[in-house]
Amino acid sequence: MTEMTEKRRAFIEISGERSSGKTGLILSELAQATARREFCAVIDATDSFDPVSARNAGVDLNHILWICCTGKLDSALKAADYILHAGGFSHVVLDICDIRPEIVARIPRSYWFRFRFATEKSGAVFLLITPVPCSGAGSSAAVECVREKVEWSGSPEYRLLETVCARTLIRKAFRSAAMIKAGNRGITLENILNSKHK
Amino acid sequence: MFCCIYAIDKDNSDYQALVAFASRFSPLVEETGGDSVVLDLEGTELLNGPFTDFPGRITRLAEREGMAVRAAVAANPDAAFHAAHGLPESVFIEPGKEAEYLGDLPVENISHLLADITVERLGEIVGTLNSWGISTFGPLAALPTTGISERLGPEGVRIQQLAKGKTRRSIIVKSTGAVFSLSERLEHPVSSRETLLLVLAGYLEKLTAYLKAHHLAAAGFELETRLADGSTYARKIQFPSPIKEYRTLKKILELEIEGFSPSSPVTWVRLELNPGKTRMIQSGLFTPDTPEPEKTELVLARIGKIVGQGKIGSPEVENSHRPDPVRIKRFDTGSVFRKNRHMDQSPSARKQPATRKLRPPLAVMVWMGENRPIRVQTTDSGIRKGVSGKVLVSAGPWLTSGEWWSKGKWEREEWDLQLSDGTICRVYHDLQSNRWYLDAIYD
Repeated sequence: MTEMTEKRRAFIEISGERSSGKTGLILSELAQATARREFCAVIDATDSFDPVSARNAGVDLNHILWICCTGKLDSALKAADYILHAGGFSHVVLDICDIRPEIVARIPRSYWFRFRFATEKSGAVFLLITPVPCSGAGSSAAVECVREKVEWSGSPEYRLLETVCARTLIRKAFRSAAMIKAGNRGITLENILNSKHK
Repeated sequence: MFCCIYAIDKDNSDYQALVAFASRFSPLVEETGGDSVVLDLEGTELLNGPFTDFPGRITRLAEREGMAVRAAVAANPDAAFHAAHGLPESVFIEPGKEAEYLGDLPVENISHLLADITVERLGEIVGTLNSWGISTFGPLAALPTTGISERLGPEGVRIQQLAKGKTRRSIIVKSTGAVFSLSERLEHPVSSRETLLLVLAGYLEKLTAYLKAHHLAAAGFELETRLADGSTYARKIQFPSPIKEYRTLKKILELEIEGFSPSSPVTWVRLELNPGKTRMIQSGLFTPDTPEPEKTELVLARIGKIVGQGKIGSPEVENSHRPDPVRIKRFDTGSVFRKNRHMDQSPSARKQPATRKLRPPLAVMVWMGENRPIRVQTTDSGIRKGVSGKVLVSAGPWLTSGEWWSKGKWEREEWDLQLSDGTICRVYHDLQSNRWYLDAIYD
């Protein structure tokens, strides 16, 4: 119970390069949360959230608050702050994944500490998806997604993209690694973060 | 529970007398169709006795007053309406058994007012149903909803819901005459937004207290101002759930007029609060926390100011084959108490990798070799990172097109590519403009 409560008030950073399974992991987490009829907020810095893909992953879109920031990073950070302080959302996702790493690296560290304190107070899980690790000591856990392989089916002339296999490395607070397939249902952050104890 | 009282001899009866008669049993009375009224009986058990005996008692009391009526009590107003109109005697319908009671009614009995369509359109649909051999509510209710939707559209689905007795709506109560509005010609014209807000805050405080005295909350507000130069400024806001807290309303009003800078002094103002029923929801002990509607409304208004209206809400996937068939609807925390329609759908048979869309699609340069892309290159766009690299694996082309009958026509050739920089993406060749775009990234 204590473990769960702690994770409820967690700021988890998920980093990784493109096509490394970050979005699949987040959608899986949102699907689990919305299945429990919890409300989640997605703060989308570059309007890249795909509701069709989310629906296919099992996310109940009625329980999602989607904030499109149309490439304005400062708006995304302000919106995340408002949402965290409002409370009532079980998961708050800040997606700055498509922003150039050099811009992400320039975000002041004080933001991440502010988000962490707000997260601890609101009881939400704050998930930061970023191209490069940036939150430093601000986050309570950090996960890095690494692409393993891409599975294609069919003959060379008529191929079909099947799945993207990725590995998650726990960069902070946890030391184990778990092999996941991006987009797999049932794989959640909780499973990954607990994998060391199993 | 709802009760419908139907005047059987409508030609010789006084409709206003029927409304006055119904108002003795409940303060919430809807005047439906010119020959009947619908009452909201919630919370009136102590006044009216058990709901099971209510229809019979109503009929007897009406008879004593010289009115021939038939009453029906049901869990929703539409089922009560159809039962009162169609069944031979007054009846109490147990919740969940609406379809049983209504099953034998002819489909011609469906009210066009409740179906929200014209009499002609209802006649067409009834004709179609008759040609299928369906003449009563029961067989209509048993038809698959998807098939009805495909053949008769949303109107057909609404009609089927009426036949099932499964509709959900609030009754529309005729206004009691109370108007929660204040307007005034200002003695000293106001030239700054801050001063105007002070004036409006005073009005708002009075109106909120007035609403509270009527056990109501504000479901929205309308603001209208006239300026000295003859121009006007008006705002109209509707809340997803009624708010009764003065401070919250004041903050929302403040955010709403934040962008208003009067070109000349304001000489006249009017503020009206639209009344709504106060929210009375007792969450379960084990149900997850939900955002407080009042607080959420305020936060959404604040964020809306930052990111722009129409950029915040719940995503909704449209029923279309168009690329990116997505729109944003108003975020409503009340949906937690509604049945989850999406979860009824079977999950996608094929597990697909998650995608991230590029909005708008990023223009890319594509080099072709042997009719397949061999290299893709794009530059960074604003703060977005571009892609660049040789194509290691390609799949396609997938040809799609649609809406050739409208201006939204599209025609494209899609490719799934794995690039040397590690990106797995979907690019498409727009056959109309003969240009290539990066559409999505698999992640």
